[in-house]
Amino acid sequence: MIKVKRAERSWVIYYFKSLNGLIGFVILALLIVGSLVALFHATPYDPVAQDIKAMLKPPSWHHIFGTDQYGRDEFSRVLDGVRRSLAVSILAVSIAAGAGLLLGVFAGYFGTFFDTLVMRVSDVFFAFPAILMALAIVSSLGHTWLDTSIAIAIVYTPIFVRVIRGPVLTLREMDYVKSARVLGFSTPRVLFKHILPNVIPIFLVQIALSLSWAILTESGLSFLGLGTQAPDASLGLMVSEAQSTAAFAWWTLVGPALALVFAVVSLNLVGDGLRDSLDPTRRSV
Amino acid sequence: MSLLRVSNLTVETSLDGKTLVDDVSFTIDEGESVGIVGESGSGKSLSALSILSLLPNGVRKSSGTIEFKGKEIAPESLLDIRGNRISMVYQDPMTSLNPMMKIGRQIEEVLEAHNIEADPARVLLALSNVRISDPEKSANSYPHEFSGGMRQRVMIAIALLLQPDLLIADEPTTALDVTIQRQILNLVKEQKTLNNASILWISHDLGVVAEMVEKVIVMYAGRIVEVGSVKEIFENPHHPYTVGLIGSLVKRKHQQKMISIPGTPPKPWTVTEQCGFAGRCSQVLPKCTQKKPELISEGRQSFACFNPIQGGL
Repeated sequence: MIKVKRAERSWVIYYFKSLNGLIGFVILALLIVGSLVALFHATPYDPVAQDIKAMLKPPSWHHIFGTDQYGRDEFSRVLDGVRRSLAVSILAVSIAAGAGLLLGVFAGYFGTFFDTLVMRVSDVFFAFPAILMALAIVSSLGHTWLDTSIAIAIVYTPIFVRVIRGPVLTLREMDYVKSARVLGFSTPRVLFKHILPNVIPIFLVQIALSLSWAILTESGLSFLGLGTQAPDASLGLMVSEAQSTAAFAWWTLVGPALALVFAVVSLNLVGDGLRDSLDPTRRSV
Repeated sequence: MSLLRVSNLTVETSLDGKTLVDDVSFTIDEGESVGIVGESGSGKSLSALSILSLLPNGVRKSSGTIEFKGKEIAPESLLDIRGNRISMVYQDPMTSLNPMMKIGRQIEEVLEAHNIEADPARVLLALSNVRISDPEKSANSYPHEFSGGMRQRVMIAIALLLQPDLLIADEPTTALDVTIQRQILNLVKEQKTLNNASILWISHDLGVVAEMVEKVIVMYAGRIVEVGSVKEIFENPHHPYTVGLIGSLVKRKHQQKMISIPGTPPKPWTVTEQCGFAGRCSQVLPKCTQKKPELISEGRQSFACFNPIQGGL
């Protein structure tokens, strides 16, 4: 490489210079720490342990988010619910993103029959509302967290295919891509050096946004009784259970709802931050 | 011996065989600058793209030979010739550079493509040759930090990096504003004398062509209608289309009205058996619509017309 005269700044620095990215990162980090606490069973209370003497207690120093109708500690349940939601959406989005990137790049770059096939199948998936599609898949697969992940992955793959294929189609026709091909560079080199780097910012932003949608979808499924099953904690399920008690014990609803809001908002902010820092043309000098 | 000889080049759509470029022949000598002028759709870009087998999908060369240094360009030798012996500068500097790759790296890629060891000094020299100030900083910049003119300079630096024998410039200044255009023209001229390269300059701007080249090829509806030196074309044009083209140039003297040629150019494949210009020509003869006029030579100038204009402008 050329000798670096100007101080080389990585995208990480640009990321933390944006307020949105910083706020999103902090909230997300807190949520991840919370889910790690739940993962290692270090929550203040057992999230499924019932305590008949502590039913529907408002928030206090003992139960900072209060307790639900079975005397379970809301805070511990929220942490466990965040863990489950994050795990499901990360797995689902990883599958969808991997499959979508592969299918999208190949469909866009090579075109022809494969492209038509992939896009028409995607169209079929797009014809159904996401939650309905996920409902149908999950009710035929089962109710474990793996089934939920697969259902969400199937629903989200076509979105990734579309998001990736579009730019690849445009990039393929760019003079610099044509020039690289004409100069005799191998197809993998053109794909990895000239096409993929230009898709990656969009791809990462799509991952961040999809994670937040996937959390909502997972919560929606659990809310409808098709995702996580009682007595396990899940944000959607907790909101669903809180319906009957929210009128006189607001804290049963506020805990899981706030956690959901923070998860979705933080992932959106992280998406914004990534978009602004990864694309050199969007960096403010 | 001429550097590049294009003989009887015909380009058509691959699907239904519509003629787009009809029987085009021309030569470029070593160190010579040749311009192709014509309107959009006259086949000037397609003729140039054919030289390096860069025709877009759906269009193919149906006949004709292209010889470079006396040898026909074989498909297997293309990789060796492209960017190395013959290089090209495109019209739009905005899409010619990868936005995610630093300028210096993009120049190095050309060296890599031809199995030449990447040498930072060479990259910096190429940048300073095209008058880019602070080459080291520029090599570490991304394309979006450059203006259109700067990017076109980078494209020229890339095109001239391996000292090609022929530089094909496909309207490289149309996307730039006039002051920048001037700088780019001077730059190419200067680099041409430095490398003793031949230039094939494609443009619809007669003024630019007049300044850049020695020989002008006028194309219309997929065919060459007139060939001559710049002086001959401007002072003594024979084909009515060339006359119209020169007449429609913007004059410096004000109060002189701009003249336009009435009508629009026909689709090349609709006029394969007649003179393409017959429908718009002021001195059309009956036989102009019955037979295709061949290119006839008169001295060093040649034109394809049954009823040429004599006596100059």
